[in-house]
Amino acid sequence: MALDFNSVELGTKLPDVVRKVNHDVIDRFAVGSFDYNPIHLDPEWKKKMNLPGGKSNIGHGQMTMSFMASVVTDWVCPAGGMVSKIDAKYIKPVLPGDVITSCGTVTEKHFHGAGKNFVVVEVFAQNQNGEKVAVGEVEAIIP
Amino acid sequence: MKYERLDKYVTTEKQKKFDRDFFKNAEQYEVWDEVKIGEEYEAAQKFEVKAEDIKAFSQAVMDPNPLFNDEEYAKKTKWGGLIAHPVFYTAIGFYCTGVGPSNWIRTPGAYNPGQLNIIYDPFRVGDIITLKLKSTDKWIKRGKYYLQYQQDFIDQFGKLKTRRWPTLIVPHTRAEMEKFIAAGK
Repeated sequence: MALDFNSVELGTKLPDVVRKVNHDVIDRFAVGSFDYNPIHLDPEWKKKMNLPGGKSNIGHGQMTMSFMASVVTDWVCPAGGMVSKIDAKYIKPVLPGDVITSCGTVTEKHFHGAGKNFVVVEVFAQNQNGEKVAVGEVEAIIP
Repeated sequence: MKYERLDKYVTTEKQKKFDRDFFKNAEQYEVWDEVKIGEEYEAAQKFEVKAEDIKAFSQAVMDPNPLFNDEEYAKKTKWGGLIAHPVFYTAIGFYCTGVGPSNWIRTPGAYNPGQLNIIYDPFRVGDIITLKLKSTDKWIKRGKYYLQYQQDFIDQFGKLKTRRWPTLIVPHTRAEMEKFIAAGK
């Protein structure tokens, strides 16, 4: 059944998005985002610095946020919806070798009229050990 | 070109021309002590959105959504063409940001603990985006030095497409930043 705002129920859990992160994935994101910060790309530089992730280079926070956003775009885009707000905090670095599962649950419905109604989806991303690496909220307008 | 191993992922004209040396002219960047709140800047570089840019970003985030990847599919939707993944502003932001004040996102040693982003209208093919920046807050918490700023992404018609408030943890002093630069040489 096509998604529409009136039929959305609070508490709906959206399908997870699972992404395996390795050095190639981080490299590809660097090219796609133009973010060539050595914290992501240069393990030798990173080993010398007192920065999150210990001696390992780390994945881009924007990449993790993109994974969380995709949980919502997968759900709303086929129905003509769009993501309108993303609020994210990164709480643990993503390391090469991590498997990141992004999850979302609908927690709010906002009634602003046709074409402006939106939902809030609480999202988080966790690694293969069940440790949360990012949390946030994504708002989406749903027809 | 730095990081030659990345060449295999380069697909767009912008990617081919972009300088990957993150610390180039880094001595011109601002540290936390030097940032003045409320100062406004406009990035010198504009971003003309092409289909290849939208597709390259969706591939970089491993999102096969046809709305971001398949022009024929997207033409039949209400959008009438490709739209960008909602986090596409990241690519525009890094591409447009130059050297010197307002280039906080490239300050050596800076990293990103979170952000708020409002998307008013998806980026689409043909948009020519101007990036405006303004420092909005800086604070100290648990020994770390935070900077928050506003980025406005405005199209060629003056329409605000996205507004965001990235937060960064940045080097406190110039001496601290120079340690990060020296380690990269």
